[in-house]
Amino acid sequence: MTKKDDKKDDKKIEIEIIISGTGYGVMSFPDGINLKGLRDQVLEKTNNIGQSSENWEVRDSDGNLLDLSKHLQDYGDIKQLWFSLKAGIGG
Amino acid sequence: MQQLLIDPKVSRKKFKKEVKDLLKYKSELRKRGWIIESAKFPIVRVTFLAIRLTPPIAILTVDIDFTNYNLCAPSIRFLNPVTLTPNCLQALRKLPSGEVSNLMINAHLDTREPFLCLPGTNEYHTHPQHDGDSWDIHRYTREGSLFFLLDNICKYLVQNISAFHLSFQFTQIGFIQEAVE
Repeated sequence: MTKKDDKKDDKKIEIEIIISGTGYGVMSFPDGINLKGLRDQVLEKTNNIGQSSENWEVRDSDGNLLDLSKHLQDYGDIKQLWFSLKAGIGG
Repeated sequence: MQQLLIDPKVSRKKFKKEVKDLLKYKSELRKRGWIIESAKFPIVRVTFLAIRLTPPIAILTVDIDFTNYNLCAPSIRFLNPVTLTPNCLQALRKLPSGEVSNLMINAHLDTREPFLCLPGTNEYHTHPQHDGDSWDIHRYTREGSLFFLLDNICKYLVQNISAFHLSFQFTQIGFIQEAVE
């Protein structure tokens, strides 16, 4: 693969980030990024590091749970990512 | 009514912040079936629709009470969306062990109403069975935030409703008169 192709593959996608219902503005990511990596990156950037990143789920604007093993491009034209903290064990 | 433990100005300020954040995404949340009916301190009232059903159906209404927030966790009342009387639904959660547990308990010792037994709710932290899991441990982790509570109510009580179960029973209301010879 040539360098030119690499640059072509690095298409950036702008997505609004909402963490626990609070908006953190629009962030830019390469569309080939793995969602697990994206989650960790966002939590670090926004200083939401009090909880292990494993305790966070990522959903689209309709509330559908996203598979973190997939890549951003697998979900097509995504405009928002919602981060939700998993609840502790109750009952 | 809960006893006041802190200056209501403090709770009101925190309540306003929680509500402002939520209302910013009101239209997106409506698409999920979260209908924000009112937000007047100290209570936010939200009705949840099961949107996987056609037509969508109102499953429950919750009143989330931010009195004494965040010295204490918010308190949640689960209500029938029409009569606004206490309502008990199942809140099913699959544990990592594969076991399924119901997080809704029929009656709290203080309120005698159904409650969601989950960290971040006042009912959980004031229950004697959880006196080892103080609210102070969760207070600054966003557990107990308005979004966190609504998100988990939706997850465990609403999202798992995906189909109608209809049963038909015929009722005989009369007889056909046969011709008399």
